[in-house]
Amino acid sequence: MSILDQFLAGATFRTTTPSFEAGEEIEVYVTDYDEADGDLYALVGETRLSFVDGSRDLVGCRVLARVESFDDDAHRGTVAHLETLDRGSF
Amino acid sequence: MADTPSDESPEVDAISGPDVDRIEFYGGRWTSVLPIALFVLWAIVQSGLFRIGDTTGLVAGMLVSLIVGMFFVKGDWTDYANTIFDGMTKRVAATAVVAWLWAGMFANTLQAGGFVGGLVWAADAAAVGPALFPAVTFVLAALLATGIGTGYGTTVAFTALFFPAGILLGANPVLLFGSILSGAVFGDNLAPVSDTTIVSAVTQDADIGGVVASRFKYAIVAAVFAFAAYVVAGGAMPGLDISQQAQDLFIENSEPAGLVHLLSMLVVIVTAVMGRHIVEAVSWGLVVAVAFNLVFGLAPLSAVLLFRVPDTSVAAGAVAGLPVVEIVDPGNAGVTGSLYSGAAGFFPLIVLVLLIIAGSEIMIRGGGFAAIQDWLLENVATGVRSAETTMVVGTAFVNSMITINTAAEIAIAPYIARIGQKYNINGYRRANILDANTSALGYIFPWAGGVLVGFATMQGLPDQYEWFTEAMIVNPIQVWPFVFHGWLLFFVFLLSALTGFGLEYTTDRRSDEVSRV
Repeated sequence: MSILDQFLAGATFRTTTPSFEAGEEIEVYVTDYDEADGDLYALVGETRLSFVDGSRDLVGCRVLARVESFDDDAHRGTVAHLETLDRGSF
Repeated sequence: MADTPSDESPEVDAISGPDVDRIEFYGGRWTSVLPIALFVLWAIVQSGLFRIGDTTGLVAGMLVSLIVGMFFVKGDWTDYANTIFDGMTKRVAATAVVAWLWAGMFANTLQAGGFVGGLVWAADAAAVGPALFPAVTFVLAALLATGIGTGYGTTVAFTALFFPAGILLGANPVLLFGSILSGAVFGDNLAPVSDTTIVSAVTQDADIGGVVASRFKYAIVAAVFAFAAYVVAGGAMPGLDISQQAQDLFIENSEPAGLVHLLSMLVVIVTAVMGRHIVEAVSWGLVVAVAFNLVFGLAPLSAVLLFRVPDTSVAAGAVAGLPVVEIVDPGNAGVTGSLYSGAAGFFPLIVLVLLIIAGSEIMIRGGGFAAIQDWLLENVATGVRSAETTMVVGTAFVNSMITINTAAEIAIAPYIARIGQKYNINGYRRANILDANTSALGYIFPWAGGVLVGFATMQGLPDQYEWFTEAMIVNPIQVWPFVFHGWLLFFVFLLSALTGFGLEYTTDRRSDEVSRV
């Protein structure tokens, strides 16, 4: 990233529901585990990405994940856990 | 904070984790807020209602507040007492103390060398009138603070040097003090070597270079509006009525020679930017300033340090010829000079701040902080916009409660990380929200460290200048509406949180590891 890009990065009005493409690899913090439907998920803004695999121990961890499917209208998708990067700060 | 640059890793471990001794209070964890709340009340009554700006009076207030808090502790009071010790010995407190002492010595030595006279001469020559003086002061203070990384140091230097110059030229004192504090906020927020910048980056897993670059867009928007506001307010707010005779006399006697101390300041900026510790940077500046005073005949060595030895001393005869010795009557014995008065001016404030940090530590260990945060998380941060708004308001609130803003920042950093990570808000964005509001709110309210340190510096001015009277000192409670850059930075972030301006997610770009900086 050039120096100018670093200064200008993020200088837009960003949506609360970002979109993803199937096959995209992303780094996310795992937000929570929903007891009721056994759903491990990460919120990116208010877009909800559910893990097709992985245990509840991952809550709070920063992980590398691959987007498996994404529904742009519902702002929901599924992701596969590839690697746990760290436990997240605090 | 106030903040002092440091090349060491900031004490992120200062955050009281679950392993430290907890204090239980009657009435639950909210009661742990009592010592700080009582002190704030005392400060408002003393300085706002009674208009007494005595720092030692505030020390008494904090002592009383700490004693009252103890009566609400369940069980053994030893933990409470030990927490006071733990708070007072925190590294952030020592860092602020060191910055004040060094900056105080440096600013007073520049003052002894006629720097204020030089500034008055330059302002007069460049036709910078009273209306423009606050706006120009804001820009110069912002530049110094960004260069040396310490907002407190900048406040001390500018209150000692620019403040009297501006008053004499007819600038409004409250507005001028506000412009100095605004410059300090700008530097604290943006300087790569500022403690608050470092803490914000480290605690949010972001690199310092990227953090500084990404916060530029917010800082510059606030600064442009703040500058315009100082120009407008400078024209609208009248200055003090200083005897025309004293004013003319001072301006007439103002010589450009004192401006050589711009080089002394440059030495501090360059060494700090080169990555040297602030103690080292200011020490070099001090050495250069003393040398300039002597070489250019701006001030004798006795103005820097003077032992007033009583004639009854056995050594009086032997040391009488030394340049730093004056033989006096026993009643006038003492030590004087810029090194002495520069440091001594901060003693009551140092004690006060150590006690306030102790009160904050009690609030942390008593669960008062956690109570505030839990309430916010459950009731307010329920979507990404409201989470960001909570981060802005929460950081601002904690910083308005804790005098030393680096300490406040360290206390709130884990909550910002937790709330932000819940919605995958990028580390740069989290660091920016954390640092902007930390920098801004640390220089606004009457009990904020930045305001108090400027006030302490101001109290030394009547001894320095015959024309400077007690009435010209700005009461800390007067200045809060005029710290324009602080308020604008807060509102820029509030708007950004509400609209999503500048929002980035962890998936948008990866922040580099801190270790790579």
